[in-house]
Amino acid sequence: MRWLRLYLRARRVHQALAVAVSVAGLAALLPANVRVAALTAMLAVAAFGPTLGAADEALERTGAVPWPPRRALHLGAVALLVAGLLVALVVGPDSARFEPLVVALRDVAGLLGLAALGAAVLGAAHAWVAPLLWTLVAVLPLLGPSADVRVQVAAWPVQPAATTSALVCALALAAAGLVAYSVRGARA
Amino acid sequence: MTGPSTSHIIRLELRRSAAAVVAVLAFAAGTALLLTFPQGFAGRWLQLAVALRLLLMFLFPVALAGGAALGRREAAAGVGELFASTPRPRRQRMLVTAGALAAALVAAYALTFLVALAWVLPRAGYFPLAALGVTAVGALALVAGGWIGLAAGRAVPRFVTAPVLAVLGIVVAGMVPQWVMVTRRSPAALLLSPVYSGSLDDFQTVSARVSLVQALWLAALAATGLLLATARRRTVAPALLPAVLGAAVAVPLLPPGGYAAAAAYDPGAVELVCDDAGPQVCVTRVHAGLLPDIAGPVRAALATLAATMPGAPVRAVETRRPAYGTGPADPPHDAATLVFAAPPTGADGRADLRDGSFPGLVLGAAWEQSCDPAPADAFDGRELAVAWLTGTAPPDARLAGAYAALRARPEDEQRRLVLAARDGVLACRPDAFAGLTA
Amino acid sequence: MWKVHAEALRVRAGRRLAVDGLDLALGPGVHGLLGPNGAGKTTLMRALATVLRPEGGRLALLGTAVTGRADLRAVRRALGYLPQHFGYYPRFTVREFVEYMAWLKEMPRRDIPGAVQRAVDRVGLTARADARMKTLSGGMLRRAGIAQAIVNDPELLLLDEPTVGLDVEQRIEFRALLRDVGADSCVLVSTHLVEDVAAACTGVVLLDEGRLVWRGPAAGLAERGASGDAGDSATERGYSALLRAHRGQVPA
Repeated sequence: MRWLRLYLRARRVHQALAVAVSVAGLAALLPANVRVAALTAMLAVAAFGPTLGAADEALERTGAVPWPPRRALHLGAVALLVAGLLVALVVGPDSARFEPLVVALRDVAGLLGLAALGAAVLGAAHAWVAPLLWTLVAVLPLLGPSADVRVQVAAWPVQPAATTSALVCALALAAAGLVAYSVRGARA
Repeated sequence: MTGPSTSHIIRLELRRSAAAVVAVLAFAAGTALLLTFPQGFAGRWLQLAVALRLLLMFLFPVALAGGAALGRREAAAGVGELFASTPRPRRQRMLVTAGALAAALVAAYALTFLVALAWVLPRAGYFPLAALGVTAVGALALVAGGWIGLAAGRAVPRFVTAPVLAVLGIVVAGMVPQWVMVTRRSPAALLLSPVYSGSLDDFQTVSARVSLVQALWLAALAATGLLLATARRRTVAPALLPAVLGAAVAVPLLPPGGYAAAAAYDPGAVELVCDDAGPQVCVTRVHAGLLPDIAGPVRAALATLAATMPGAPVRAVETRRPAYGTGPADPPHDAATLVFAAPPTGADGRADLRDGSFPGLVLGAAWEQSCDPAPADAFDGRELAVAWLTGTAPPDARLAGAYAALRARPEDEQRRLVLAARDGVLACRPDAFAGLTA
Repeated sequence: MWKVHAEALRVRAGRRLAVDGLDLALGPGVHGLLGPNGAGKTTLMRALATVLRPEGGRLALLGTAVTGRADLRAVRRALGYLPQHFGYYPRFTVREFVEYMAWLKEMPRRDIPGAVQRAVDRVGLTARADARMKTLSGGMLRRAGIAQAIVNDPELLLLDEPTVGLDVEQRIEFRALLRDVGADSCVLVSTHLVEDVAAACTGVVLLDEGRLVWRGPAAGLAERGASGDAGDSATERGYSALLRAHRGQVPA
């Protein structure tokens, strides 16, 4: 437990958690629609972006502990945390308030995968860029729930729950991010 | 500051800072998004300007995020102590960074416009100055967003500032106006948002007064952003003054009703451009690029009408009534003129005739007149008349019965009814189509 | 006119009064600033670099008083400072960063390119002048920091731990640079490396707990040590002896 406590402090997880909780709390006050849900999920994921990298990556990599399972666990924990926040504050116990649970989970998985991919390629400092840009594109009125597969993929965070291509895209991003981040870690 | 030295430093900032990256991302994504709907602006300058303003819903948050990323640079690099020992005031340092960011954002916006011009120039027939005004307001909005982001990034130099600010930007400037309009209230303050919402008819223009007031407001907002970026603790409150004053001055001058109220009928766009190689076919100036493609089908329709009835129209003119939005109705026309609606513009700037409905619509225009109120069953009556002319059953299944009844009559009777309907419509009689739809 | 003149100087670092009643007068030459960790060396450097405002006492830099509401721009134009934690923009090249610092020091526009080239040459980074700063090793980064400090030929040069990461050869070249600069400027070098002090400095300032312990020529430091004092060189033994004497006099 002591290791866990030190790790959480080193990665500044409490700060990220505070930001994510505030964002979800504010989002609960806004009109309930899928665009707001997508933006909330993205912000919560972006808040945890800096936790994906250490203050001194080069130093931490020299440790004897195997990092890949720990990184994967880190991602999984963040996913559960953010999804839990969304479910508790934004989706609500009666899912009539908001989009179905599946949409929230899909968005969290896909955006977190994208952030992890960004951390592996650009560094933890820039992990927020890709999720932000893709979500901004997706919430444009120009795109939206559509029958065209290209639009479904381009705007996957705002597609309804039954859209297979959006789900596939999100899962692909989640898998790619998980593998890339676990294996390579955040770029120093 | 010594002049050339400052420009040298601005160029250094452009090369080596996040300003260039933000600009490249804005340009790439903006251009890609713009080119997903070229049919919305092909051949029309003002529609391109408006399309770019629609895209501000994406570009404005990107400018905010980019500014925030740039604003945290000094804190992130740890240069604060070193720079504190230098004589040049912090304000001048930030001014250079702000200048580089503004140049990069405006360049990205302009380049997106220039690239999309390739879809506009070949078939453009009308250049309204409002296009420049609308574009200038968009560029100003990006600069204001970038400078506000710069101030925010300097004040809160954390990683999460950029995405939070971007989301705040898109919610406040993009989503809140739409939510407010849904509640049926449209205060003048809606036009404070630079993000265009809704659509503009080809025959409309954006009121110059609205563009001017918006430009003033955004300039004040940009000034506040710049002052906040260079502020010390004591000067934060005075820095907000330009934005507050700007809003206070702008809101009374803006019309309520959002961007729909900012649209005005444009007489310049509806001036007629004519093709006289044969029976005269005229279109509006803004649709001049469609003339080569529709002159043929329109003349074919005129020929069909001439072959079938006496008193057929000898020239065709495009309607000058906007498809949506406010605008004057056409004046009543005589029997010698056919007033038709132009087909939509395709992605290449040419007329989009793919669904094959245009010839039928042109023929149907012979049974149309500018009447208030319109004759009863005008739409069905026109369809029946066109079906009779072309000899094919009307596509609407409801009219199959009426069409069969018409065809069951003797030939002369059919002709008489159809021609009487045309005379009735031209004279604006309310029962003009009674004979056909009975 | 003293380049640096401090009287009963008090400077606060956070909550601690790191410099507590310091009297110091420095003229041209190379002065070594020695002292244990926590003695207030870095805080003193920061106050002399006008980064920190002194809390009390009087401080005059290059003849201008800097306590109270003084305009520091004229003083800062003749200042060169290398902080202990040298922050930099990683994407800038060495030349660009030194140019940027020259611009920040309000050097005349015409002089900047030549001065930058000279500074880069003097620290031996000519070959890496157009390399991005993030590609430099620790020692090269430090030398780039020295380059930006000397680019405006400062009258008062403040270097906080300038030889960190420099190899033996580079340290020898650096001492030559110091002697060159110290000919008509006042150079204050804070360092733990006593050999550097002994070789390059004309004077030594020894601080402990925010107060002046000893002030004198570098050779004088070596004379203060006896064979029983801690240290592997005469200078180190002198250093230990002075500190021990000072702490013996100061109540615990």
